[in-house]
Amino acid sequence: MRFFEIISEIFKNLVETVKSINKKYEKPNFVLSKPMKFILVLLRIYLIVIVSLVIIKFVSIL
Amino acid sequence: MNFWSNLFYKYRRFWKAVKTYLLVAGPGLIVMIADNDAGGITTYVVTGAKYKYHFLWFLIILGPVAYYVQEMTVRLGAVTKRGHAEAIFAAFGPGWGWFSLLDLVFTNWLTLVTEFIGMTAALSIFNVPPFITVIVVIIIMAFMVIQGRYWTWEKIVMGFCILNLIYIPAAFMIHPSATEILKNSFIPHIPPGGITSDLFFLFLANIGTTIAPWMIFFQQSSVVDKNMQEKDMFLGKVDTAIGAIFTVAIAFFCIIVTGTLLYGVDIESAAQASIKLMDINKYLGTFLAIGLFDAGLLGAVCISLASTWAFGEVFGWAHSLNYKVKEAPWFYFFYFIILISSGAVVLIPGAPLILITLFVQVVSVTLLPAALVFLIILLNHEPTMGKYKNTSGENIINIGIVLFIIFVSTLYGISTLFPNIIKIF
Repeated sequence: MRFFEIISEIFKNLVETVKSINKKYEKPNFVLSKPMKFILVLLRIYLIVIVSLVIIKFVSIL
Repeated sequence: MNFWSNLFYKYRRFWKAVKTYLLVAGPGLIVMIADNDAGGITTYVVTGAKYKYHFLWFLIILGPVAYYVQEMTVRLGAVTKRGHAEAIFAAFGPGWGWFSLLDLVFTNWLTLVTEFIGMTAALSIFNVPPFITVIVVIIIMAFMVIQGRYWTWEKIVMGFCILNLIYIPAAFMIHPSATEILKNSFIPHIPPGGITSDLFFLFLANIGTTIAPWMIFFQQSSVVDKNMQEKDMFLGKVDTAIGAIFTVAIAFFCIIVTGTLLYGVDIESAAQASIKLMDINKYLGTFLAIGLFDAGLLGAVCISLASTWAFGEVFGWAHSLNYKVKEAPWFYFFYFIILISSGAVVLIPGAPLILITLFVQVVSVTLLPAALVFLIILLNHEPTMGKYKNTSGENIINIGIVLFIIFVSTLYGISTLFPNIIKIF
């Protein structure tokens, strides 16, 4: 019982810390220009494609 | 009289510059030499055995590539006093921040496993059981960090960096043909046999070992932990340039050793090459095995710290090697957790170690482009960088290099996932 309490306490603390980090960096200190925004969109697309390829590979293995 | 006093003045100025450099030296040298980790040494050994000296010219080109990317982290760290993970959070928000941090920790953990694979394989040649190797490595790494002084840690790591130069005397011991080496070093050419899938894969692998995501995070955090200031930036760049020369030299001589003695032999790993070399020359085989162990250790030291620094920066823990364990308990706890867990994987009977080794290349492809793109954007942000922002000339070089690395590392990752793709060549 004590073990689960400790785990739940650690988990609760972690969630709180993550929330405080999210709040701290909520407003990025960068004003992104249009080309930079475009680059970040490209990066998102790139990551989606790569992750999809990884998933396809692992599904085909399984 | 005037001549001698002039000479004396120049001599004193030179020594003063050397002494100042030695104070600043460290992050650039360490990151560049650790770049030749266990995976890197395996790549060079296989390259030498397969293509003799025909890749030497290509390695020389890769030196400046590594320098230009890493030099940006020196500037960013010295100006912002922030590690790369924290800089991403602050500049791009929590979305990109969490992605980079978690991807870095995951990629680094997998890479750490491959370093342990390299180290256990190297010492198994001397009949050291893997569990002893893992325990000894963890003790060495614990000893290095718990001193509570960045300076002590750095000097110990520099000692391991010097050991990594073991391939240089090894190459001189075998008296290779200087003419052939020079010809292959300075005349770009395609190796005999033409463009094949093997050549293409090794070409990608050699570039893949040049820049890894952990290097960007490690050097920037290291610059911050060392408390490098803007005035130290020039020497920081010199440090990175000297490191780039050493990393190329190590790879260069490693290829010369295996290219001279193992050319045409089917080699798949550095440990296998060490065993084969022992049949030819006991000392050379031993040198290669020691070099492999040292490369794995250097990689493990830097990679584990890259993760720990990044986590510490974002979570706001005390995260400096200048703190004692009592002062930064979470920093050291996290450091040991990733170290022990990755070492333990190697000891699990039947663990999918080959799959992990391949998977590292694929996972790093998801992080490297993002880290490089963020680096370029941050270096172009005038309010952050001021007069140290990228100039137009630097942008042309750096963006060109970044696009090239993204293209090649993506191809490398995809060819690892789908090997048949590169057979079209």
